[in-house]
Amino acid sequence: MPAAYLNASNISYERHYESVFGALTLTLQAQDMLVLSGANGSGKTTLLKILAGILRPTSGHIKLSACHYVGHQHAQQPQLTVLENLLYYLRLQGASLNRCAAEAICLQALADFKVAELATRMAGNLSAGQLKRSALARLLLCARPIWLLDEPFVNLDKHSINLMLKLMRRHCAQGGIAIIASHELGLADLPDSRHLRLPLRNQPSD
Amino acid sequence: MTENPSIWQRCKVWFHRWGSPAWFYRTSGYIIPWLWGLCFILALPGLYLGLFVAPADYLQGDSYRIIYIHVPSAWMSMMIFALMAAFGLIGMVWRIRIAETMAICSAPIGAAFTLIALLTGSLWGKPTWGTYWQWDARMTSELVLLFLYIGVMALYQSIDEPRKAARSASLLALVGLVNLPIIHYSVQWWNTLHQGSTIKLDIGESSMDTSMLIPLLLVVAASKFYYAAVLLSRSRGLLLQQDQHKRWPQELWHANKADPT
Amino acid sequence: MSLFIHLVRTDLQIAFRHAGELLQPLWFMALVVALFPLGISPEAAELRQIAGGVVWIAALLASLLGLEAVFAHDEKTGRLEQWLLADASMLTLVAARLLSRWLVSGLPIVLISPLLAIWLQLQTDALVVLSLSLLLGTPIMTLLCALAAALTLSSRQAATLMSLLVAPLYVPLLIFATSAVKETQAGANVDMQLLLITAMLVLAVTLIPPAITVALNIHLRE
Repeated sequence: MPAAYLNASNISYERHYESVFGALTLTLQAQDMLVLSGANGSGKTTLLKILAGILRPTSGHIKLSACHYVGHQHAQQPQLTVLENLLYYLRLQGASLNRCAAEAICLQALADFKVAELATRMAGNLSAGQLKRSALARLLLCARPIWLLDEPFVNLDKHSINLMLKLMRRHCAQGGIAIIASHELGLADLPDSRHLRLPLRNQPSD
Repeated sequence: MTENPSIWQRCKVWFHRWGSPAWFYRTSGYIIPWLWGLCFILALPGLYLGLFVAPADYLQGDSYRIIYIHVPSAWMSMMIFALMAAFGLIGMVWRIRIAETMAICSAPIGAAFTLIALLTGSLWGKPTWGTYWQWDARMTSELVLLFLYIGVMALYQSIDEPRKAARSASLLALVGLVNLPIIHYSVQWWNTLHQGSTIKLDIGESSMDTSMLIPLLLVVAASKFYYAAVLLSRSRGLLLQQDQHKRWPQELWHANKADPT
Repeated sequence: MSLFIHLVRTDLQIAFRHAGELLQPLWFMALVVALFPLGISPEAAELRQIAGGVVWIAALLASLLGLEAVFAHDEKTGRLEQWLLADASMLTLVAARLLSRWLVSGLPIVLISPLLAIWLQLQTDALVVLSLSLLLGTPIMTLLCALAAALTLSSRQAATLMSLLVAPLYVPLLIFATSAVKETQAGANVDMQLLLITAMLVLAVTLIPPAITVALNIHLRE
């Protein structure tokens, strides 16, 4: 995995021609873990989507290595099995393997997340927590240096949260970057991480 | 170099000013009264000459006088669609907000002209064709044009985020513009196929007398200034509404209070 | 290329797991056509006169059904925004979706059209032209519908709006296709109509997919 970097300078974003956040500068290097917090509506999801390259910032520049983005939507097709959903993403991420090799990778990712038994279940029949875990398994399909996670712990039980934290630490230790937007997570849970609190902005802009 | 900016740089500065709502609001405020003035100076004599002074047509009598409303409206309905798409393209490519605003604000004006053209056309049709509605090529094209306008407006209004709405509607206007010639010629072709011998709508061509032509040219010119004036007024209003929580409207308000002239 | 094939195959897999929904537009089309003999007249001569127009209008109406499957389902689950993070161009993903969409919604209309034409007493030569015009025309319908579906992703009442946006754009297609059927019945040569539809198809295939990409970008990125 190439060394991870993330430079965002002076990014701002407007919605309804009103500023959601303004002039935010963020620099992260390999092994950094960043927790975004802030009240509802402070723009955590927006910021993550901008960093992921989904939303276009109103101004500012961003340079970063390749990233995975797992939003708070599960992004799985209900009429496909968990395995088929993962295969779809493996192809989208550019892997051109034969079916056997591709399935092996997907099953390994599910096993790492301790959800191997869900592989042949239809995504539409899963519980919210199971959907979340199979969505997070996408992170392990191919190595991308940056993980952008929007509320990854919602709907997860204690055991799964610990597993997720362990995987995040391992990812960072291997030279990756992880950015987590969460309103339940404080510094106490992740003492080794940086913390960015987005303020709620109401003042008029130009 | 620094104290003497090139023409290109000056153009760029001038162009970028159009991106500033505050500047646009102020400047258009100066222009709008002039546009209204020109519109009335042209329209009043045009309508007077057309409706009262010009001689009656030897075939159609006085009913032909509706062209002084119908022709400018039909003309504007198509011109505004092209302009709307052009503004939309500028807004989408160079991300100029004012252009997006002008595209959106053009749609209702164009739709109104289209509707007027359709209504006056069918009013004229009653004494001439003996029916209010004839599936004539121009009327049919105009009807499809009205549907396209309604589509653009409905799409804009159905999307909450204004920038998304403006850009989606602009894209639809562009798609419509590409389609308009195809629709127009297909309808014309269909029309000749089905009713080769309908009465031709060709009034206002070379056969027209000067005393009839001059008022027509006056109202046609007036309609363009009318469009420009209404477009700028609507755009100002929309910008003000969208930016109501921003600083520039408040500053403007305070400035106006301090100096009411 | 393997990605493209995989995407099309996955789309088809999803569609066939809900085969009932897949057939709904076809039932609808057959029903609309069946209403005409009941509403106008069962006389063969009269039905023959309107057959081309009836089948085409029924096809246009049927194409407006089930448009949420084009992009809206993926949008709702969050799959659509993952398209932006894919290792392939948006255009490839859109093209795959368009092809699979035509296979599940356009092609069945072409296949069912001879049956409906027989209901309306159409002669064999006109029947062939009708099916041919639908074969050329359904991809245009799929493209226009997909464009409307992409444009209305951010809309509040997308379903109604889509028909309002698409219907005016259908006008030239309807004119040339129904004229081809009528002229065949009159014994005339209809190469020109079919060539014009082909020209529109070429234009649509080149221009609409990029426009869909722009529309998706407006929805996802703004």
